[in-house]
Amino acid sequence: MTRWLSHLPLRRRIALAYAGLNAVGLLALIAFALRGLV
Amino acid sequence: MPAGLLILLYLFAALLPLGLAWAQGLEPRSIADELASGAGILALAVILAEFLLLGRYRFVARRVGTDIVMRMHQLLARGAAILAVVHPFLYTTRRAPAPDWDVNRQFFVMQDFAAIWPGMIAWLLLPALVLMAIGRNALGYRYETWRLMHGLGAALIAGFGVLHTLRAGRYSADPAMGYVWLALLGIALFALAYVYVLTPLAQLRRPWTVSSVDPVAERTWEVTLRPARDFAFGYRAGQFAWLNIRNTPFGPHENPFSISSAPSTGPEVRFIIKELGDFTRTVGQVKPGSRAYLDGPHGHLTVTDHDAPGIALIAGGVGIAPMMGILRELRARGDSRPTALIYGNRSEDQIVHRDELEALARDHGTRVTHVLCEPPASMTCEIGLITPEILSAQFGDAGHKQWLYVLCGPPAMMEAVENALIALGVPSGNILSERFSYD
Repeated sequence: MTRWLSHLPLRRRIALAYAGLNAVGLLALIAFALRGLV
Repeated sequence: MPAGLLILLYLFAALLPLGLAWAQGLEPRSIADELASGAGILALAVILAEFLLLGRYRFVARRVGTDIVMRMHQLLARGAAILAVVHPFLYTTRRAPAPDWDVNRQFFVMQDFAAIWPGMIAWLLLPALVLMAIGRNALGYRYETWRLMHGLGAALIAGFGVLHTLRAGRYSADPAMGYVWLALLGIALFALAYVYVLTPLAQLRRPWTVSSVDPVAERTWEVTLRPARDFAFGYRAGQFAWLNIRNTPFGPHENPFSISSAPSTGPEVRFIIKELGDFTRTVGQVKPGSRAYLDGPHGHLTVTDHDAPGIALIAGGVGIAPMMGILRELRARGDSRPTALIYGNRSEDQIVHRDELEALARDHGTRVTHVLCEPPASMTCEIGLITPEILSAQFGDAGHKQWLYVLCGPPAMMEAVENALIALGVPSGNILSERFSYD
């Protein structure tokens, strides 16, 4: 995993970081919206 | 502060209002309504956090990279715009005026015009601002005009967005959450004021004078500045600065350029500038003695704090500017590490400081390879573009994998070179590049 990351072009690393931030944000939003179901 | 901690801080700021809304313990409405409120809250928080991703704050940019910070600024704004645009359409509860007994707005969405209009303005401005930023080049705005509109538009969106949530938001009616919104807005506007007011004020105390403007290649100039007062500009070779010549620092008239001088050679700072855009077209007309201001230094394209066994510089066109600074600094310091420069241009006329590069090859042992699309018959060089074959021939053996590679040039060139170097087994951590154009 570390080796894979260390050989990733900058553009892909930025895309990965952006996807990670989006995933955290969307998960938080979905959890907020669904909290009434719990 | 490590980059990972900065990302966690960003996430904390962006998710704090949503967490506070959750912590209020109000009875959840339908999933669609909660999604609508949550999308609005998250969008506004991301928009306010955008002001911290301007690339001008050295404590952030030094660790993450100015270009990466600015790219995240662009991308995150697009996500926030989508959330903000869909947010009003997700509500399903009744939109009639809320009766007094519905204190927590469990059954009615706030419909008062006084609460809605600020949101409508922000709702219209935000996608317009994002689209204008994406299409900036195609729209043909002057850089200075665009920058002013972008800053002003962003401040209006932040202000109207917070006003809207304070008046209309079910969760923002909570006083604690209201104070958090105001605090986040205050931080955002302070961040903007830091760039447009505080930094120019600091620049007034550190004026520069243009010493000379010399032609160094076809439509390319080297501008030399000297401090007009006694102060030190602590930069590292390869960094860049926002340069403002002949204008007040309180305005949008500044452009980023790589520094081509070496800090070890004295207080003068040089920039290599090619005639490409609005300001650069007139750079050859700048008179010695003109007043100038610098915001910087910025950027992480520096080699002196890396202990790689060798340094390879790969430049295209005016991308030679930071490379000249790095080569001059290595020479001034007597750095004995092997260096190589691959320098691509269309024609021989575009080669900057050819004599100095030859001197560097002769006296400092720098391996200089010119790559020209249209070479003259008399010149020994590679022909065409900087290809994987050229890179493989120069850096293909195992010893070169640990070298440090510095790239500067057109985006397509940098992407191709980076991919080729990674294919040769060079770890991406050994490749330094700064690019400000991704779309």
